[in-house]
This record gives sequence, structure tokens and C-alpha cells, in this order.
Amino acid sequence: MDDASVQTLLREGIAAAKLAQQNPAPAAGNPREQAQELLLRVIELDQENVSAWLWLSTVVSTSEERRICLENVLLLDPQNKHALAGLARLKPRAPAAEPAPAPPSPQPARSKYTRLKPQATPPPSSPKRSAPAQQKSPVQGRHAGLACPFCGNAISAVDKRCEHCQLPLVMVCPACKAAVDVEQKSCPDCGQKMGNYQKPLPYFAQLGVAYQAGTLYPEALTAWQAVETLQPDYPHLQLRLGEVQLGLGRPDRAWASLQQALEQEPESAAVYFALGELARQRGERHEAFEHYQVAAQLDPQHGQAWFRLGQIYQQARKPQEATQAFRRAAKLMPAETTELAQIQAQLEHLNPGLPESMATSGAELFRQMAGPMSLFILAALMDAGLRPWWIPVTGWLALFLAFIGAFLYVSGTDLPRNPLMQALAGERGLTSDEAKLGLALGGAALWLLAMLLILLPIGQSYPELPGL
Amino acid sequence: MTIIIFLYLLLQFVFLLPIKDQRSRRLGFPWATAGLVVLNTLIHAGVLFLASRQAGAAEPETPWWYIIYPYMEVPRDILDGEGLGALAVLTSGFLHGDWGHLLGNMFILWFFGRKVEDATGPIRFSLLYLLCVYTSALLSVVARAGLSPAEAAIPGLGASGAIFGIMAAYLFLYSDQRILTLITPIPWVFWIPAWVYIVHQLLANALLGELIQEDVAVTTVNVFAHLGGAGGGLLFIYFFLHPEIFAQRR
Repeated sequence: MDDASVQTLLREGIAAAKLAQQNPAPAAGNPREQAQELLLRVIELDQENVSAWLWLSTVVSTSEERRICLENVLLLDPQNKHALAGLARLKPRAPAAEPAPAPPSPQPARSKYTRLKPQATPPPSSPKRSAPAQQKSPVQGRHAGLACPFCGNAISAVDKRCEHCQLPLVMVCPACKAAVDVEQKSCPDCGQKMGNYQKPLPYFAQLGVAYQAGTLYPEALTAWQAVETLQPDYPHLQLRLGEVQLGLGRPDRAWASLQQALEQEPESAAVYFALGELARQRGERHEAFEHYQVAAQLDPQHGQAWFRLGQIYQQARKPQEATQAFRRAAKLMPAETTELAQIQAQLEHLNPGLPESMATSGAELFRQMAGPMSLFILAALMDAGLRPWWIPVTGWLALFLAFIGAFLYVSGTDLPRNPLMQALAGERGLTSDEAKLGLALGGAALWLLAMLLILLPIGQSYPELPGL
Repeated sequence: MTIIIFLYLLLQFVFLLPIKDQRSRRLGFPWATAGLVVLNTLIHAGVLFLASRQAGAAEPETPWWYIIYPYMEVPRDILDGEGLGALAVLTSGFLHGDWGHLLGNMFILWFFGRKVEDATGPIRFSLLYLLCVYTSALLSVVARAGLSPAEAAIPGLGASGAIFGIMAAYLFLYSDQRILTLITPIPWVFWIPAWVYIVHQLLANALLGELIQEDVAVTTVNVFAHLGGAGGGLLFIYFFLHPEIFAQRR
């Protein structure tokens, strides 16, 4: 190819790069990728083309790639102001790497963009990827020397997926969402660990899990599809694919995957939960309820299933059942999660608690204690032939115990901040659930004891049977 | 007196059997109501079993209820401080004369108890029920002891006093409800206001009580216990209500 062709390619590449800068999210086509392709072709033909490296730095995906391009510019033109300014704007390199913009030294390529050597004349296109490519037979094609790190077959510098093994060549950082070459063990932007691509199965599976946790469903689908390519019977793969399709809002595909998952794992709570999610997404509340119920039965520790059950009960206007399900879910959910906050909000909505004026009211304390006390007073009176002065010592003791029991029970249940409890335990009253339960049980036990004292026939004579 | 007799006969002529009401329940399973139904049934079955075992050993003329006599409410004994006192009042509230007596009482308890338990919670409901046992016994003892020494010696038993208390509590809580009721002798069901049903029951008892006081009527039904229980339920339900009910109305 002659110089004119190189210049033509360069012009087209620069035009595409400008277009990519003006319109980063085009409706059709991708000028960024076009620019990358054109400029890389220029560099293949003329590795010392400063303009190509400079413009390439504007369309690469990661800052590490940008750094390589700009360092190459400086190597060719140490006074280039644009490159100096661009490198200055980039974040400092990670501690293991060399500081910018110091003259680059030969090192293993960390990107698909080749770092130029400071001296000598490098080959037109040095191998961009590592060992597997070198072990394979000579790579054919216009990017001779570029090889898939998984299968070793030839790939283009702009490929994001190997055409031969169908595995992705570029993944997304689960933390900062920057594009990261599969050969990079950590994200050059944020330092997030990406895993070891040389063990592709756990590599993609771990990324798939991380993407799902971050609700990056398109990326998760890519990762799980890679796992499927590598090992179609990978454990829980169909469940994962179903979950991801659900996240992507593709219920039909999710259903197909989940049916396969159900055949493989008929006793899996996670599969039933996912089926519940699918039914919920389709608006089939009854089916969703049944699936969540099975999930909760199979795994009573499945907090999400209890959470969904609570939501369905709440929609069905069954506040009691909703409260029970939400309380169960709250115990099982990890702390400081969005779901836990939602559950607590729902519980607060279902059980708003007493207004401040009632919770700290002496009149309310009296009202609640008066009921049980009426029972014990009347029982003691009946025991004494309706004569208060006949009430024995045990009867008075029983009334005292009943009074204490009533106070403890009321304080442990509805009024933990009653005035008397505030005086005893401080302004916040009783706060610990265990203490409240203990008081309520203690109060009930005192009631039983008091009733026993009244009912025991102490000092009473046995009546004569009536004559026939 | 003629008017009272006429009204009483009229009320007796019309028998009301509640079938269902309009209110759906708020809480889950009514543990306290169900527990009371089961307890009453088990006690009755146990008493009949014990009575059948003693039938051969006792005198042939001895009535079966002699084995439970100390556990029944006898106004004379209670006022004299004899017998089991408060225990007898309590036990009499869980004893029944026959299966029909038990069935009728448990049906009404199940019908009204669940709805009242909704408003109180199971523990307070149980306490209210026990309180109504005692208020029913209170009026029964006082009124029957005042009638005559013979009446004061007649033992009383049955849960109906407490159940009237629960009915009265229902009236206090849900007086605007309507109850689907079978009204005999008309072989059909009607939605009638809850207060009509409950007032019908109370009025029939009150009129019968008046007729007994006037020596016009004699009955085995302890109407004073019914009225005492109803009075207890009406007076004390306020103290047993779950505070959430008041919080919602604020």
C-alpha cells in the first residue's frame, strides 16, 4: 500500500474519530469502532505515524490503552503538547506500573495496543497477546501475530469476541464498567480484580456472578454464555441464564432456561424462587405465590422468598400474614441491603406502632392494666363470699402479684415506654426485644400464680351434698 | 305483667340462628376462641366418661351430675364461704348439662368469639372470657340468693354466661354489622342488624328473669348468669381492646 492510501486511511480514521467524539451514542453504526479499525490499519502500515497514534488515543476504550497510545506519540515526538497534556490528565499509573510520562521501556503488552520500543525497529505488529498465540502455528490474516488467548486462533485487534471459540475478548469491569481486556487480571481504571483468564471457566463464572450482583445483566449474559460454551453442563448454569434473562426482561427465554434448570434440580429453592420471579414479572400473582411458597418450604432460610411472600400477602390485604413473612425475611436478609430497608419500611407501614401520646400515656397504662385487675379482684371477691374483709392473706398477695404481672405484661407488649417504665429504665423505656419478651412472659407467669393462689381452696370447708 | 308475658312469648316464638356476618377477620387463626371450644368439649367428654365409670359404683338413684357437684356454682355455698369458692365459679363455667347444651354454647362462642378476639388479641380475649365467667356468676349468685333459699341451693353450670359477655362485647364493637340469620318459624335467612340479634337474646333473658322474680315462670335456664355475663362484657371490653384500635381512630 502506498503513502496515498495511508493518508486516505488516516483521513477517514480521523473523520470517524471526530464523529465518535461528537456523537458518542449513535443510532446506527459505531464510528468509534470504525475509527479504531482505520487508525490501527494506518499504524500497521506506518507504525511511526504520530497522528494515527494521537487520534487513536481518543477512541480507545480504557485509560491504559490511551496511555499506551500517548506514550507512543511521545516516543516519536517527545515535545508533542497534545500527548503531554493528555498524559497529564490521565490518572497516575498503578504502583506496579511505571510512572507517566517517563520514557516507556519494553514490557509485556497490557493491552491490544502495542507499546512501541524506544529504540530499534520493532516488527510491524508485535504479538499483542501472550503465550498461547506464540505456541500456535503462525497466524494468518491481516493482523498476523494477534491470537485469541483461549483458542490461539487469529483475531483482529478490534474483535470483541473470538470468531473461532466464540469466547469474549473484552469484558466489563463489574465495579466501574470500563472495558477490560480478558488478559488483564485487574481493571486498569479502578483496580478491581477481574480474575485469571487462563482458567476460563471460573473466570467467566465469577464475573457472571459479580455482574448479576451488580445487575449488569447484558454483561452477565455474555459471561454465562461463555461458561455455556466452555461447559454446557456447568452447575446451576441454566438457573443463572434464566435469572439473567429475567433481569433483561425476556420472560420467554427465562422460562425455557428455568424449565431446564427445574429438570436438573427439582428440589432447588433457587429455581422455584426464579420461577416465582418470572411469574411475578408476567403478572401471574397466584403462580408466583405458589412458587415462592415452595421455595420457602425447600429452603426456610431463603429470605428473598419470604420477602416476596410478604409482598403478595400485603397486596392480598392479609396484613397479619404479610407481617409474619416480612419479619421472617428481615431476620434472614443481610444487614444494610436495599431489601432489608424495604422490609423494614413495609413492617413500619403494616405496624405503625402507637402514637407518641398513647405510647407514653399513663391513662393508657391504666386502661390496659384495669382489665386483668378487674378479673383478679372479682375472683378474689367471689372467693371471699363477696365480703372484702374475708379475703385471706393469700388473696391479697395474689392481687399484688396480679398487679405486678399486669404492669410487666403491658410494659413488655404494647407500652414499653409507659411513664412508670420510663421512670425505671430511662426516657426510651424498654428497647430490647428480648427484655420485652421476658417481661411479657414474666407478667403472664405472675398472673397464673396469682390465679392459682385465689383458686386454691385454702381454709375452706367442703360443702355437703344436697339431699335427694 | 300481661305485656311482659306477651313480649316474652313473642320473643320465644321467634328463634334466631346466626349464620354469618359481613365482617372479614383481620387476624390469623383465633387461637383463644378455638382453645376455649376445645377445652369445653374435652371437659364435657371427660365428665361424661367419669360419670359412666361411676354409674355402677354409686347408688342407683344418684344423678350423674353428683360427681361434679362441688365444681358447680351454688350461690348459698359461695356466699357462706363454703366449697371451692372462686374455683367452683370458674369450673362451673366449663361444665355443661348435655351435648345439646355444649353444642349450642360452642356454636355461639365460635361465631362471636373470633371477631371479638380480633379486637383484643388471644391473651386479652382469654382474660375477658374469664372475667365474664365471674360477672355472670356475680349476678347469678346475688339474684338467686335474693329470690329464695331453695333457689340459692340450686347449682348452676354452663359457659353461656361468659358467652353472653362475648356477645355483648361484639355488640359494643360491631353494632353496625349485619348478621345473616335463620329466623324460625320462617324457613328463610335474612340479613339483620347485629344489635337486633343480640338485643333479642338479652331481652328474652331479661323478660324471663322478670317472670321468675314474679313467680310467674320457672326455668332451668340461668337468665341471671346470662345477664351478668352480658353486663360484664359490655362494661369491661373497653379495658381489653388492643391499643392499635384506638391508635387507628386518632
